[in-house]
This record gives sequence, structure tokens and C-alpha cells, in this order.
Amino acid sequence: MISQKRMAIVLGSLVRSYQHFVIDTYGIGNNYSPRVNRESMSHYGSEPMNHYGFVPSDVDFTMVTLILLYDHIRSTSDRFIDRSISFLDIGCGIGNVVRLAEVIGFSAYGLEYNKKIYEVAKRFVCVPNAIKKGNMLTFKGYHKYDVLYYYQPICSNGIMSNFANKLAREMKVGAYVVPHGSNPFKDIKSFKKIPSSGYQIYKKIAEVQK
Amino acid sequence: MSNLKRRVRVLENLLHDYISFISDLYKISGTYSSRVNKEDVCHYGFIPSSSEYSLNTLISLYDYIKNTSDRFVDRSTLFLDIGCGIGNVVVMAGRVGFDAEGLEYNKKIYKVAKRFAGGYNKCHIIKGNMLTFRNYHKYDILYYYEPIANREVMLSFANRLAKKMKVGAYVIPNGANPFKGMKAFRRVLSKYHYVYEKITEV
Repeated sequence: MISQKRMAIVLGSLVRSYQHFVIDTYGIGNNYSPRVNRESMSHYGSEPMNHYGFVPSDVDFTMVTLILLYDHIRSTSDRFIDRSISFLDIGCGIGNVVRLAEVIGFSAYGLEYNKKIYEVAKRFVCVPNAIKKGNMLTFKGYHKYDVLYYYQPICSNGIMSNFANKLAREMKVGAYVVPHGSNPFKDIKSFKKIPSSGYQIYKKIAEVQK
Repeated sequence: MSNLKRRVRVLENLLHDYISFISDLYKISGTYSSRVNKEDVCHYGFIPSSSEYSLNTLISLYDYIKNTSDRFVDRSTLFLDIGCGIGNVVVMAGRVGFDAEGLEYNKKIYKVAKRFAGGYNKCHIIKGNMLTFRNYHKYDILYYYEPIANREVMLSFANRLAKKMKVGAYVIPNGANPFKGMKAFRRVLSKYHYVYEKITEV
């Protein structure tokens, strides 16, 4: 009998290989420092927005977090008995986490700013309307989603922190956020931390006071 | 379903997505009826196989060899995927622990395989025709997944492979399988796996 753990390790490493191959094929960067389309970010005046191009996250870690969150929601809330759980990856890159969330069982969507990467994501995820082209800083639909996920989509700590605070206000009560990078949720009383062995997960339990 | 089993299933799904995406990207996809270069004795272009079955078989065989044979104590085990496509099984075999090589006939697919698998440690892609390749005797494990559409050509190839591979080597056939009827071969591992060891000359 083969150890499932060993299978998971090899498969996880293979998925990473493919992910890097796709990134490399499209020339959209494959480490933590790439920035794509710097010139196109200058429309925010003198301060560049510094959207990251694509940062591949750890497949196994993300998977463990999302499986735990999916089970947690299903087992603790009656709201989702008759409907799917919507998931949004904010700054989704090539859509790898969108696809992962979909395989786990979420109704998954991605928001991507960079045109070139958006085209790759649309082609990779291959579900009509799952990938939206848009700017996370001006996007107005965060209240529609049950789970919001981001993995360091912006380099600038100041902008990232502003964004996370905006998200905390705009997401609906009862929704969950899986933040990676700037994380103001741990200090906001309207959010409650869900025990997790993977990334940190917070549930919005009340409106955020201004 | 156990948590680990679920993770394996999720990863297996993702892997299949990536393989299909790459096949599509390079337009070398990817179903059981697709053929690239029809004029070339019906070599299949690229067929993405089940990652879970291949992985399960490769891990089982790797453990079996390491546990039952002293021959590999001081040396690595040489694996060949005959008609390797984009090299997905080559990379998998490399990750399991084999010294993995892939043989690919189609020039376009060979280039993709070399780019994808050639960069990894323990993985190497060779350009060549499986029907005229002369070095099958060098490998410890020979694997193929339906590389040729024409059944007669495929069967004739498998019979030739049975003769050419060395005694003590293993074959994992998918498609034509004359090994099950040959006395020179014995089936190893379990009923779930189609793995044969050559025990005497044919």
C-alpha cells in the first residue's frame, strides 16, 4: 500500500513544476520579486501601484487551508446548504488558486489587473466568467463573495495596508478572508480568527466601525 | 475520505489541468484520437495518462526494486519512457527517484519535453524513433503509454522490445502487451499494476 502522504508530496512537487513551466513559457516571472508592466501602473500619479506580476504560492499549504475552510463553512453554517460558496482570489495571477479552490468545491473566481496575465488565467481556468479583469484597488464587488483570498498582490506596504482596510469594510458580515501579506484583520474587533494549521483565516462577525 | 486521500485527489486534478493546458498551449493535445504527423507510422502525438495510476505504479516499483534487489544498492535505476510526449512521466519518475529518460520522435513535442523535463535533475530527453532505437538493453525500467496508433506496428514493437531489453529489467506496458503471455516474463507487484520482469532471454 502506497503512502498517501508520499503521493501528495510527489504530486505537489509536480504541480509546482508545471506552474513554473507555464509562468516561464509566458515570461510572467517566477519568484517573489517580479513586477510586470511597471509602466502601466503609473496612472496613479507619481506613486507606482506596484502590482506584483505573479507570485506562485505553496500549493500544499494553500490546499490545506482551503480544504479546512471549506469543511469549516459546510459544517458550521446552514446558509450554504442550498447554495455554493463563492470564492474570490484578489490578484489571481494565472488562476492557479482559483482552479485549486474550484477543485476543492468552491464556486471560484479570480480578479486580475495585468492584461497579459489575465489572458493566461482565462485560458487556464477555462470556466466562463470565472476570471475578471479589474483593479483590486477600485473593484466594487467584494461584498458579493463568501471567501476572499489574496497572496501579496501589491508590493507597496502602504498601499497594501490601505487595501486590506478597505476590504475589511466592504466585505459582507459572515464572509471569510484569507490574507497573505498585509493583515489588519487580527487587530479588528469585527473579525474572529478561525483555528487553522495553514494560512490565517478570519471571519467578519460585525460591521467595521469607522 | 481521509484528508490525505482528498489532497491526493485535488492535486491529481490540478496536475491533469496543467498537463492539458500545456498540451493545448503548444497545440499538441491530447485525446485518444489525436495523431500528430499521420504520415509517420501513426505515432501518437501526446496522450496525458492518469497521473495517479502512473505515480502509484512508479512508487510501488521503486520500493519493490530497492527492497528486493541488491543490484541497485550502489547505483541508480535507469528508467525510459518510450514516446514520452511532453515528458510528464519522465519528470514524475525523476521525482520518485529514478534516473529518468524520455524518448520522443515528434520534433515539436521533443522541443517542449526538452524545455519542460530537460531542466530537472535526473531527467533527460532523447530525440529518436522508438521503432529503430537501439539502446533498450541499457535500461532497468521501460515504460510506454500507447505511443503508436497502429495496433500491428505497436505489437510488433512490443515483441521487439521483449527481445531487446535485458534480463532483470522491468517493463510497464500500456497498450499492446505481449508480456503477459511470455514465459520469459513474470508479473510483479499486484493485480492492480501491469509490471513485468524479464527473467530469462526470449
